[in-house]
Amino acid sequence: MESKQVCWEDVKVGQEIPTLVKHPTHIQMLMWGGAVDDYNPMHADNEIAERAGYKEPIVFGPLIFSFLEQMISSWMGPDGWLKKITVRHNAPAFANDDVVCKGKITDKYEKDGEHCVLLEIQADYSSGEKGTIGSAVVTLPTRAQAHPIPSGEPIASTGWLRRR
Amino acid sequence: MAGKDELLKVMSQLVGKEEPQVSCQVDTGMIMKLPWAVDDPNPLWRDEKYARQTCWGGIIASPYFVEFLRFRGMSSYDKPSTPFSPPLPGSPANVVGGEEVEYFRPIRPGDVITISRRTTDVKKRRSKGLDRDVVIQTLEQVFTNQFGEVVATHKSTNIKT
Repeated sequence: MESKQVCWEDVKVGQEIPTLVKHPTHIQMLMWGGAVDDYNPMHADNEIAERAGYKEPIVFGPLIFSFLEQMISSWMGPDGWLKKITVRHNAPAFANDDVVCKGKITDKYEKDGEHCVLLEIQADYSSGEKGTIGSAVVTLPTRAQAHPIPSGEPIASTGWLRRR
Repeated sequence: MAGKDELLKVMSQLVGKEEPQVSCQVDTGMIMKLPWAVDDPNPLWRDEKYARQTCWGGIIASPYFVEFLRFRGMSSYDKPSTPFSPPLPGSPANVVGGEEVEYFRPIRPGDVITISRRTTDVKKRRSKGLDRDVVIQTLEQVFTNQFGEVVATHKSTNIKT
């Protein structure tokens, strides 16, 4: 994660935010299910997934949603605030798909004293483009409001989850 | 297998009814568990020393922590003894079709979050992708802290295949 603060004056409509590539594995799906207490067998059991119409267990939609939120929060910095996010899952992702999360600024405005940015977001899967699409609104500090960036070292990614 | 008309009939009984509220005391372990599962290295959710120097003054929950709270509030279908858990005809699988979350305040360790949940709509549709009828349930959840402040709201569409 880049440890920097994005300020409202510095962003432009049409600008893309840094892409985040994730590789959800069966292990990550187990970790996610355990972390949120979601033991829906659709995400683990081949027979149940096939009966529901899928070729194999599908990645949790909320995990894809969380990847998009990770992308946004990593970009906006610690003083930013995610106000609202809306997504629609058009198609399922499967374990070991590349999930490529993208975001683009489509508007920036001031409202009720807040400095807002509107983003168009999407997640493309190896198995299909725009598997998940949506939008998000974030508020950013202005240069005058931003805090100094904390000096702590960002925690390293748990790289063992990534496909080698 | 029971038809989707029967499923629609049973699930329609839930529309508009507030389910029993569930409360959850948030601790640091809960907050940290999700970024590990997501593989999100952002120190704001996990490093107290770092977080203390930010505008938040300490660790706050990641936005996707709401997903954890969402499942705390799930009484329907998961607990067969509740009045909100009618045995669903055909034991359909559930897939999340979409989500909308609004965040109003940060969630911090020590907060007690109360979760309210209700079904706002149920309808039957033909799924082109799955080539079958499905029942779509729209759910709303509201998360309120110990001060009575709404910290987040969550809306989702859940596809019963």
